[in-house]
Amino acid sequence: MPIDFPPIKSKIFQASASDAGTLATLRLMGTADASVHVHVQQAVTVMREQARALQVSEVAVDMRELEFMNSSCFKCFITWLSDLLEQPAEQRYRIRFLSDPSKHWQHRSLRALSCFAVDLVTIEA
Amino acid sequence: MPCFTLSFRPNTALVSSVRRFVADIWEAWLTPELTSEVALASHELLENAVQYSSNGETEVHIEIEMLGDGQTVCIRTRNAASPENLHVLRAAFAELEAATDPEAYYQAMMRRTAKRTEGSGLGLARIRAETGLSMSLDIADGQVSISARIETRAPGSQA
Repeated sequence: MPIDFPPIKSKIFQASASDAGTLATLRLMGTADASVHVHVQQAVTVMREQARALQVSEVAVDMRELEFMNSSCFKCFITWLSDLLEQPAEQRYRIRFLSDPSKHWQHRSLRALSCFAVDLVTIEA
Repeated sequence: MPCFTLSFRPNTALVSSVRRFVADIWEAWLTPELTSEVALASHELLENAVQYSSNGETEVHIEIEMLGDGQTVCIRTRNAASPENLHVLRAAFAELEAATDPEAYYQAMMRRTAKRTEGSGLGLARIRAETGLSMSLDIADGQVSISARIETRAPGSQA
């Protein structure tokens, strides 16, 4: 069953997803600010539903083309991780963030996420 | 002493434009990392001002002061706010200032706000933990002024 993720295309923010075996990938591009919070929330919600339905072992979140993320959009990921931490161990999956070292905010924000869910989050630069 | 002040009726789309403007202006003066920190703090403070402004207007002022072998960067937003929002801001700053460990407080706020449906409640904690800027709140005549400040020194200079 292929991933069911309608692409999100707004003027400043885009999201798409793909899957291969037990890995699903969520790709975020553009700017995630308050004006597109609803789109970011939608992207995370659909990805969470699909990850559960497809029983993946890992979700890669590709942020390399994400210019910036504000705190309200960042919180969508905190909620995702918080809910995942509450799941039984056998229903959890890992989340691997792909980052761009030249976007300095990504290093700092993703480090905070990895501290929040030490056993679930890995960061790849 | 380079500085600029913008006064405008903010909307959420304009905040990102201001963040990019801030980054473009200051990248000539600051390291890429510090430019990124100033841009992040500017964005979060402006979104805060949009949220709490009672008349839709806000002002952002950013300046760099050269001090010998270092520099001080200061970002200040100013807006009018309702008494209810002033109370919320005072409480938020009192809690922020009482927390001595910025990273521990940030993690605590992340746990606390994970289930929150409106706003993030994370902006101030994020600025302090992710940028190292210190913040202060001033309220006078219904006007809120939030300042975020960081002092830097040139590589190799004595602290």
